[in-house]
Amino acid sequence: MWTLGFLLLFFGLLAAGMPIFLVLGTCAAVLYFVSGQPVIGLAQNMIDQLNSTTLMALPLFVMAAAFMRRGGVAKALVDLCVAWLGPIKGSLGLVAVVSCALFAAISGSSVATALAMGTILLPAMLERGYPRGFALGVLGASGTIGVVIPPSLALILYGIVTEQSVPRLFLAGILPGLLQAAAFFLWVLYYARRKDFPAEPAMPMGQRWRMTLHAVPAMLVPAVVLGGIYGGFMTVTESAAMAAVTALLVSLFVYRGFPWTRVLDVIAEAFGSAGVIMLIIATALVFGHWMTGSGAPAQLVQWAARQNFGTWQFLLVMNILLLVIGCFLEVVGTLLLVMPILAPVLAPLGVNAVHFGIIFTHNMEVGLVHPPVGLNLYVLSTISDAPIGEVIRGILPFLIILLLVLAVITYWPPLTMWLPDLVFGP
Amino acid sequence: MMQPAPGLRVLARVSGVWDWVERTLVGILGAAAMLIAAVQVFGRYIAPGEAITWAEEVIVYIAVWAVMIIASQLVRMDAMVRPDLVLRLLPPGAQRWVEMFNCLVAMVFTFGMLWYGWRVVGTAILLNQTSSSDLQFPLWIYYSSLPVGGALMLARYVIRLVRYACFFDPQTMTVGHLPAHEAPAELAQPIE
Repeated sequence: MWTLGFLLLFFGLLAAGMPIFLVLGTCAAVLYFVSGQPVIGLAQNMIDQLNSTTLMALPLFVMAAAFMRRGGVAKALVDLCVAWLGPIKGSLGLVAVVSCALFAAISGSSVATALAMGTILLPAMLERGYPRGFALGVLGASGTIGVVIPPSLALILYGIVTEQSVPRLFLAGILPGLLQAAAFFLWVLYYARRKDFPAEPAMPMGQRWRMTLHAVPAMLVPAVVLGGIYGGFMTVTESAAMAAVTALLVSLFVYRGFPWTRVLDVIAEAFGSAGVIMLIIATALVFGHWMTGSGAPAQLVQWAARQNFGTWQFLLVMNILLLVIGCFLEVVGTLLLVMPILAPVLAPLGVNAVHFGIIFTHNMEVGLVHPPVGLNLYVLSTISDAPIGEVIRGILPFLIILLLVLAVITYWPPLTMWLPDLVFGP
Repeated sequence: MMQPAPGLRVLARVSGVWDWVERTLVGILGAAAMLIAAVQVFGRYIAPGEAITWAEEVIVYIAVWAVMIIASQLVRMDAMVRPDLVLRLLPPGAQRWVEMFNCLVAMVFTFGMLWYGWRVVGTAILLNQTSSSDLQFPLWIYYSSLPVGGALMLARYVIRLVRYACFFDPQTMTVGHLPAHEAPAELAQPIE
């Protein structure tokens, strides 16, 4: 009876379009009240959940990304790619894939990547006569590379919720991210030849190297992050702060994308994006604790054991389930709603939590580009004035590639685990 | 167009100042968090004698305060993450009622944050709670962010409720086709 009422409350509030942090917070408050615990414990719990050093990597990485996005870094990366890929047929499509992958290594968010690259490359592609559907498809799909390539906000959150090492997760994301970029690259190469897309005039060698040199400061940020963490010089949070400092200096003094008077504004904007996530975390972790205490995950494990699920069957069911949830919620919401229940189930079923993290985040990438709530679709539709249907048709081939890559990631664990095992040992 | 009444102009100015204070405060707090972390890293490798060890702890306090303040702006800009799939299907008139219901629930919850958060702060002062690190930071300063965030959001939700109840405009106040989740300001002013 209580369970039914509770589920009604939960899904009712979600359907009413209430912010997720309020849905989780209200449900947690009702649970506290019904189970007779003092509600002050909820307030104490919320503020204590936020008291986490690892969590602070999140606003700092978002700050770094905001500086880079505002600072004209995207343009430098695009110029670099045009310089070297220009003479190939359909080069602007290839440029979109490669520069999104590079930008993903700077920014932790897929929507930010699609936004930054879309505003520069979309007008250029339309001007050169690329079909609009294709241009939107390649930009929207390439934006999703940002979710797995470190530094990835989704992987930081996953690490916090499932108590996994964030540096390990970061390493695990690299090869799957590159595989995805390579698959997109090959598809664009093939499609451009078939449809005879234009090439860009070749640049003289001197200019190519000038473009490359110009992009070097932009690549400092991933160098600081990866060198700092894997060289053992800094914690993840410190490396996030150093990434923000580097991004700020590069944006202010090298690319001069915004004046120093706007710095506080850009920081406030970044905290807006990070705050959305952190408020959900505060209530989601309280809710998750209650969920674990309620024994629901244990029941799920028993149920799965009774079905005699093999690992591969469990992964298949999970993928389908996550793809369905991805239709209704975006990355952070899904992660914080689902992972507290799933995390305790992984080990008994023989699933490596790091491997599952990459499966999970890749799954969320697919959710970003498929209807009805794929955020990247809306971002692109907004900046291009194209109807959402045209964006979806353009993205369809990439969606199929994404699903194939998802299958490879799911059923070939070495792709994910080889690099972290090599660096940290199994 | 009619000239707005003097009272409304005062309100608009107050609202503008309120926004500015919140955003500037968050900007300063964020910059401080970044610089403190940088000082810790540089200190460790360049001047170990002068190095600080409390940076990460203080960054948590600063950043959580910043988040609680910016939460107010998130309510004002309708930038909170929410699944608006069902809402999109409803006609504007029905959306208005659902939004008003949402505001009421939000007001109860944020009032709870204010009320119980205040009691958490009171307990921390009474028991003289400090952090368990070397710094022994008085925790009531950190805890205060909760009731302050609750109060700010409560005020914004009251304003939102009044807007939906008395000044409803179907053109601008229904769910559009753009989920304004990530940094909505950016979509308004595209990057050069």
